[in-house]
Amino acid sequence: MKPACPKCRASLASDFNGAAEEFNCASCRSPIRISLYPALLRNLPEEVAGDAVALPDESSCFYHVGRKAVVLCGRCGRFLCSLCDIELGDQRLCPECISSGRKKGALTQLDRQRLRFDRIVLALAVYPMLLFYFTVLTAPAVIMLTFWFWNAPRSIVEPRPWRFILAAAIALLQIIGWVGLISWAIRTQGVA
Amino acid sequence: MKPDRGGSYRRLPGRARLVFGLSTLWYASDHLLLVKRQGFGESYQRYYFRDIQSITSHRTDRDTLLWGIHIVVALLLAVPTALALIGGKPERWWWSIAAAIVLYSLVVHWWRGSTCSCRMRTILQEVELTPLRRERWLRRTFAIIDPLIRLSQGGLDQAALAEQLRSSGVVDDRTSSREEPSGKPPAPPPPIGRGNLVWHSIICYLFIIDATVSIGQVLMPNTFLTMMGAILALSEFGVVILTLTRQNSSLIGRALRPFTWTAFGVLCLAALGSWVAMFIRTLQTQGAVNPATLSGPKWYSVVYIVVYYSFGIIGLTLIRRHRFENEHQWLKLNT
Repeated sequence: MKPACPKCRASLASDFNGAAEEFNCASCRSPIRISLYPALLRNLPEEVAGDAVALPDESSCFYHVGRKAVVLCGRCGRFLCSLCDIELGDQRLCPECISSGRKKGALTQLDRQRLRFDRIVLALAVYPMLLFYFTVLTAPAVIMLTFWFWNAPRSIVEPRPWRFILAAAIALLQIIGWVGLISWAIRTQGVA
Repeated sequence: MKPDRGGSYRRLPGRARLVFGLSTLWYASDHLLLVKRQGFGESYQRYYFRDIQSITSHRTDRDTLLWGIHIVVALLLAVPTALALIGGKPERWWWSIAAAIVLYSLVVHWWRGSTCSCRMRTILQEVELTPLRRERWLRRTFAIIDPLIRLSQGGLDQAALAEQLRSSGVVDDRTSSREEPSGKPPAPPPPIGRGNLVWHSIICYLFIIDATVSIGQVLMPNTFLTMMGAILALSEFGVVILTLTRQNSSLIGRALRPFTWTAFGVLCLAALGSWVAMFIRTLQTQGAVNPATLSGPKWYSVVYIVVYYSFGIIGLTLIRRHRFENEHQWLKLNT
């Protein structure tokens, strides 16, 4: 696969000589900066079904008894043939570990999306303040949800719980405010 | 297995606004992470350094468009703000806040610098790195990730990589590729289609319609014509800015490029002239004038009409000539 101009999609094969440099595309004449890396020389790996076990004392794959084991699973240590060997980042895992890791949220490399509960809770604490009387309902809900979602998977890139803490603090202040307001109202009514 | 809390990522410069969200770029020791946040959800795309084949970037005209929008909004806000401040009207604070927001946005746009587009190719796909839409961000990001990519792919030096790419046929030798093997001159660019000049034609027609509306405004001033004039002026700005952003990537002739820029200059001058004329008129009448039929002095209207008619007609002639030359060249090439 040869590199193409990002603007007009014409092939850049004859316009540069390999290294990182700046030049004009021969087709659309727009200035382009390009950096090439050795991976450009690599082709897609061919599918390998795995060799059959040749000798009786040779270790075989845990999932395919007739296939020769080539690697150990990085998590469970099972013998794997080249068909069952799945490369995930720096690790080599078996399909079973991948499946269970995905279910338990232990493999962040497989996470494609996450719901930001901390943002939801913070929004629930802040936005009702625009119409402050809603906070009588939302403030206890925020405290409850903070505890509820505290252990839920957080953002991969921002895992710190400061939004939960901030939301709980705001909700606590709202509750204190409401308690003060109600007690003041009762006291005033009592005096009257 | 305990859930992985992550936290091993570091943020890279740059961000792109999405509808109800934001796109940012992060990196870990072995991969790049493109994060798209939309509402309360986040989606992740990982690109391992060892799989990255190339990173290409080119400048875009988006900054021209943003400059245009900012200038138009600033011009539209300048006079009412000045009038409100001079007149000491109570709404002067609202105008001042709006002007300050536009000014802040203008300074941020200037600070962020020119715009660009960056694409990354891996063994399986090609993606646009949307957060890297400013050259400043691209340079800083590239300085961080380029050594990491090279390190993960074996640290091959530039010369060795160039030699390997050339020998494998991924790229050609520069010296040999510049000369045609048969000694023939390189093929001319393909002729332009009719579609490439549509926006230029629209500018010319808008100028002619605007001049005609202005005649009506001089002869019988009324609210409808004033509003139509204002809508036309805004449309002209929009179309000219759009044409300016599109024409750089098209193969139109040299005569039409300056035409669009001149049209932009004429529009800016006309807008400035109109505002100044109205400003003087408002000061003269001490605000006792109907804004719906507000217009400058008569001589200004006459100059405006003559310039707009001439510009529209000259533009249409240029476009017609350009089309003819192009079709002629195409016919010559085909026969």
